[in-house]
Amino acid sequence: MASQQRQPDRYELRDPDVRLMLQVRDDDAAAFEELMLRYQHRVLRVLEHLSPSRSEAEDLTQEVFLRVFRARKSYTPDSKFSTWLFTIVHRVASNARRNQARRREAPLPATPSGELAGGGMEQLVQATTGSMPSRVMAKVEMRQIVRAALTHLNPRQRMAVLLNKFEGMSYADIAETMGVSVSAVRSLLSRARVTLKDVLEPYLDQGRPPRSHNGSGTWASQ
Amino acid sequence: MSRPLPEIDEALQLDLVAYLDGELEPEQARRVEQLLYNHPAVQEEVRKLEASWDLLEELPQTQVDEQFTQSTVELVIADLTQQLQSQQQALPRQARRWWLLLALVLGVAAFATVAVLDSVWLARERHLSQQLPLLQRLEQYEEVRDIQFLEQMIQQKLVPILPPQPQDWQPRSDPLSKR
Repeated sequence: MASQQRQPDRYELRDPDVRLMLQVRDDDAAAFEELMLRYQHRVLRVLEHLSPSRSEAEDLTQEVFLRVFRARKSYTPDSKFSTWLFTIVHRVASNARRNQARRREAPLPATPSGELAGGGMEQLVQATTGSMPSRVMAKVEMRQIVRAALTHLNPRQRMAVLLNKFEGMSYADIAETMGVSVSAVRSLLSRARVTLKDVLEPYLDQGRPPRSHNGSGTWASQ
Repeated sequence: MSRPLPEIDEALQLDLVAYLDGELEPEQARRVEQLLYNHPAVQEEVRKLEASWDLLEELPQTQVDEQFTQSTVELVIADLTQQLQSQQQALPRQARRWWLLLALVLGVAAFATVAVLDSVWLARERHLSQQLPLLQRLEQYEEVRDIQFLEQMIQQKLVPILPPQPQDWQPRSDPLSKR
């Protein structure tokens, strides 16, 4: 019981972003702006891989920060700030996915420019790299291939991968963020990494783009 | 003597991925390291898992410009303003509700006061009306000036007994008029 009471203090002392959020709770606008500056690109990076387009990812990022601000008065430092924030990100992304499923729009993976990749991996790579110097072309091609490989993962796997790879979250933190058990996270990440390995193997071994993926399974829940 | 190659099934892949992520218990990690040491096929599997994982670092860093930050702040301010406005609009409604409640409470209190006063006044009126026959003949009773005679009259029920009984509502007939 005593350790539970000490828990919020622990995060307040260790995590400077928790202290900033506590200032936001006290209506400190500058603290909110500071938190946004620290996290907006990280939130956008995750949402970019979960949304059909860059513009939608930006809209969702703004919605995340709007929710952070609305929730300020009920904020309690029960976990790391990033864990709390990405719980909101996960919820916003899930809602957007459900809404999109309801609208029955054709889901297509996003490209960095915000265009939709629906014409197959080879066409996409060719279209993007056709007029570039070879070194730049190779880099762009690689990015396109990796981005397309991510679309082979279902949204939950993708979320777990993004949190693990880009946010450096532990399995326990991912579990808390996604509201699942640690063993479920372990399973999600294992399957995701095996899928990525299988999809990227031709590129890694022979430099060939992986098989195209039409994205039909990208929004399906596991 | 070489050990038999374990099948790289889902269970082993779970362990390999957790090992790469540093999420295995020390004992499990030692078991995986033993497998890696003894089996090149397992080493190859781990190499491929790592290589494909490392490729994710090639994804471009997301850039956010100042305009995006500004528009998010504006969105939050607009939301806050809207929230405040709706709270202000709700205030007259709330005030009206409070006035209604206050009026109701005052009405109930006034009704209760009137009821209490009325019952007190009625009781007094009732008492007076019961004493009326006696009061009307008080001067005559005073003229008797003989308590024994009065007591005899009471015993014979010629004079109303005090205090009056509740059922005696109707004014009594004048006992002296019979004399």
